[in-house]
Amino acid sequence: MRRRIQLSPWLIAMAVPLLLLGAGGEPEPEAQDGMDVFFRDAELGSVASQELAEYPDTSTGESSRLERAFPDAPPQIPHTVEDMLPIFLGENECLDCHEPESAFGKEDVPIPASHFRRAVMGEGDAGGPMAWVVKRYEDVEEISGARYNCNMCHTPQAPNARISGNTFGRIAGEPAK
Amino acid sequence: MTQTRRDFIKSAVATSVATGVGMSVPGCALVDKSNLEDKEKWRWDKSVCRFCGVGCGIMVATAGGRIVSVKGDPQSPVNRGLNCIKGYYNAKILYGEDRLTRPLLRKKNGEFDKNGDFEEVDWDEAFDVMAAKFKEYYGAHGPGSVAIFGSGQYTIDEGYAAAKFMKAGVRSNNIDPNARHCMASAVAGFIQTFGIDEPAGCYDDIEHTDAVVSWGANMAECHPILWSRVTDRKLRRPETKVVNLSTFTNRCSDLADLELIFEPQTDLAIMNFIARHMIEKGAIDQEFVDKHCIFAAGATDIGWGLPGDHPREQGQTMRSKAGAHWAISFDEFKKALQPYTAEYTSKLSGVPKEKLIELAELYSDRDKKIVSFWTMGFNQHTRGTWVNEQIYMIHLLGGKMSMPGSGAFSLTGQPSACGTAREVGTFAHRLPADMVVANKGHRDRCEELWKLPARTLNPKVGTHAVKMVRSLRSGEVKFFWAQVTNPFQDFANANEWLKAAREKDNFIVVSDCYPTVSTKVADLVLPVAMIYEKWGAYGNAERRTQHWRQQVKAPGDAKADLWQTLEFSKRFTLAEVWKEQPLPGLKADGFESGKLPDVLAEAKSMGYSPDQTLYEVLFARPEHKQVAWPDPIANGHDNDVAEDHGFFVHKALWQEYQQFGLGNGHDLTDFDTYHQVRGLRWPVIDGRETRWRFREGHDPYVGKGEGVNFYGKALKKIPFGGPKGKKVDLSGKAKIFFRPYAEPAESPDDEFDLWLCTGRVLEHWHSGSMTKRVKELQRAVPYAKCYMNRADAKARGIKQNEEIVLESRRGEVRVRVETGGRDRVPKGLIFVPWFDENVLINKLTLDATCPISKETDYKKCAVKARKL
Repeated sequence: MRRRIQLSPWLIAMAVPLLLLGAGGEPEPEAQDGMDVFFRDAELGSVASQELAEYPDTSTGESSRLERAFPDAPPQIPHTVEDMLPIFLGENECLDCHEPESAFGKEDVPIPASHFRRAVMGEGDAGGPMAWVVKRYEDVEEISGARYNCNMCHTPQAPNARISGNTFGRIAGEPAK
Repeated sequence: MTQTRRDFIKSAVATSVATGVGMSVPGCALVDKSNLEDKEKWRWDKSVCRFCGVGCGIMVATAGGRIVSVKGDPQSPVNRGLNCIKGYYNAKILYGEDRLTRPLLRKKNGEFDKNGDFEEVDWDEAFDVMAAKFKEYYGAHGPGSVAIFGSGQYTIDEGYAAAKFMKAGVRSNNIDPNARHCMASAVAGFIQTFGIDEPAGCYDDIEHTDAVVSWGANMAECHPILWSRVTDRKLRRPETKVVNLSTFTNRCSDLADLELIFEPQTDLAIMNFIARHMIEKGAIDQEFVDKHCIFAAGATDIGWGLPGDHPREQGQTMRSKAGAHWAISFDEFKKALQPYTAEYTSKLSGVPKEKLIELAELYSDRDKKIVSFWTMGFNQHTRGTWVNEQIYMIHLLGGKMSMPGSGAFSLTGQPSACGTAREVGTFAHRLPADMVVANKGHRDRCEELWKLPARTLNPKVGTHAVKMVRSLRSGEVKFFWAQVTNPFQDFANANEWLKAAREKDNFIVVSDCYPTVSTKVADLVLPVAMIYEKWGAYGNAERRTQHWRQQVKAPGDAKADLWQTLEFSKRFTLAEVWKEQPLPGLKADGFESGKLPDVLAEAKSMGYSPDQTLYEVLFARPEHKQVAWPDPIANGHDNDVAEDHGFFVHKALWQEYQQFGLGNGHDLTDFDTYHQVRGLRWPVIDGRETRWRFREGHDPYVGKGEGVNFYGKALKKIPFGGPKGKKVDLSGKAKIFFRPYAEPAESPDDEFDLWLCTGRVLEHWHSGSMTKRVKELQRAVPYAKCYMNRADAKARGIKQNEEIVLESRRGEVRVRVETGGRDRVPKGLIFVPWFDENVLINKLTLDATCPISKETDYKKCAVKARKL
């Protein structure tokens, strides 16, 4: 049923797609239909099978922080989130540990002050274009509702995921990461 | 061992990476350590997020010519200092190591050859070959043989230039955007219902409403910042109701008070049940309906947008007149709704009767303000136009429309689906500001503003997106240029178009920033400057126009799409394009059948010479060149396009484009103002933005004492009682459509026994070409998974995480199974996101469309799952 496709010269020529996937030593999958050779032929270094992503099973207290890509980047989650998701209304297990008040929070990663502020909106000042604008920010006691869905910004990371190179933040003179 | 092909390719790649990321390329130097560490030296500037239709504001920090940080813009009224995970990582999308930095052309023995290997070429050679191929096909077959497939991610100036080049320059209406796949049904719904495109309300509805109903959307993942505003509303005011209607449980359900999981396609019936219930309970706002609305119905045997010879299309007598509609009486409307009882609807949809009634009661509550949001569940639907019209039916019946906190609100998917694709009109049938090519008055107006001889513009609607790839297959379209999109991953029934691109006599050009599925099947690949490497503007889903400045330089020879269109236009003279042109099938008043007229004589009388180029006539006219660069508004920022062309191209084109919308409900303001504000929602009149259209006190187009005026002009004279009835004038009114339930194009059967629904995930954007280059996003979601119900998995002996084969009548893919996680699907349905080129799910999907909007239904087709 499955057939291999004869490679035509133009197919072999495609240098470009290699970069994303690298020319890894993955097991060679069988081509599945006429077009699969684009992405899956081992000779092109591409794969169809994708290695099972392994997210950390480290328990919350045992994990260490992941390096942030840049100072304003949201920190990603180094520990297991098994049984912590989904986040429901009134049932957010992330807050149990990360709220600044919580016992764990002090020694771990307390939610920063930025999450306890909300925008006050209003008509823009006279003189400029008339629009509905952010007038100022006010502090709130509970985490801002806009930031309640923690997994909008913070997610567990699978270290074995196939990634491509990225030169962001690379310092001149240093070798590629 | 001899060097294998693969080794050769690897070494070639390594070389191109070295040159590509700029060890030796000016403007691309890596960050100097002192710059990186000394935050005092960082330059911050406002910009917008590259990704979804929400249109969040971001602040971009640069140092040493590189982006070093991104944060949510605290001054942005949209996102108020917060981004989603993708938004923050805008910082990294420019810096994937495999950025395309040089044009690549397939060559053999030093010449272009469709079966050749990719070789780096310079821009001159790239454009020489591209123009030669264009002219070869255009000369032999006319304007119908060339096409641009554009984007809802075009900046406004890029879309404007591409549309002007095609429509005014080479006189082809074969330009259509990927937004066709995204919100064409929303547009058709707006035009048929209100006579004018885009939402009446704005995001501020969220902070005014008593209830948010999400239909066929997964806002929590696909419009995350809007969902954060909904969440904030719900937490601060717990009595606010949140309802999620979907074909599977998603993250929106986690916040919802009420969830309705319905059988695919039965949203059509649920809507009618709600309307029936409202009438029965006396919940109609009679005064509003009498004053501002009229009832309507339309053709029903309209098919499923499949090719005419498809068995499914036989006997569908109204296929070619799918949009036909007429006014009906309220009694007829009421009668048509009668079959949609709670019992019938519950049986059809699988939703328990009590839940249907609870939802209908919510819409029937005269005291409650309600906002309904939807996206692709409605739009990507073989009755997409109808289902859009049905949500307006419900809101109009209850008078819950265009007022703070109440309205039916169509969300868009892409960052400038509204601002560019729709407002500029980069569609096969459109011109700027809601004008259309088939309307003589509209063509006249555009010819006047564009300073074209009369009858330069082509009155025949061009090939819409789906027809464009079908025409690649049939050989009618031979030159195909993809800008700012990845068509060969995003079209349904992908195998067909991948084959057509490689096996037919045609020339495929793909402009992109990274290698994609589409660049793989291209003949010529053009490297582009990305969002923060150029000036630009986007228009978001709430009519907010937002401009930004260039922050950094593009790597290598990568150039902005605007630059590419302008440079390509230099290779065409008026003599080549404004002479008589064959256009098979053209029939229009004032035109000879099958031909566009020679307009060179009139051009000459207007002062043009036949050897002038399209660049001089369309983009670099004296009035354009008067707009000087440098300009104080740049405040030290580069503008590489302006530098190359010697004038402030973006501002010049903006000033011209602005003219189209002034005075007809699409008013935009001046270029410099947009650089001083966090966007403004059009119409912008006397310096004031408009938050709620059609409502007195908010919209200056509504006169004193009118209260509400649905002033859109399109389709406001329709027959009464039937297609041949006497025409009635509905000026100022909206239409309340009756639309019946209709079967899907393809449903599961004994062999292909599962529904396949496709869509997005939070962490990746569209086809993943940018987000897969960001480690944090790629590690969060490394591949597309097949979300499957545990019972379905068990019945097939499939385990969690197991790799399986999914197969439809059109193709197959391998994918890993997820039986838990964020999407909890019911038995009989699977969900697979489309971002992953290794799980090219569009090989399986069916290219059936809404016959009115021509938008593909990516949410419903039949597949089977089997073990490897």
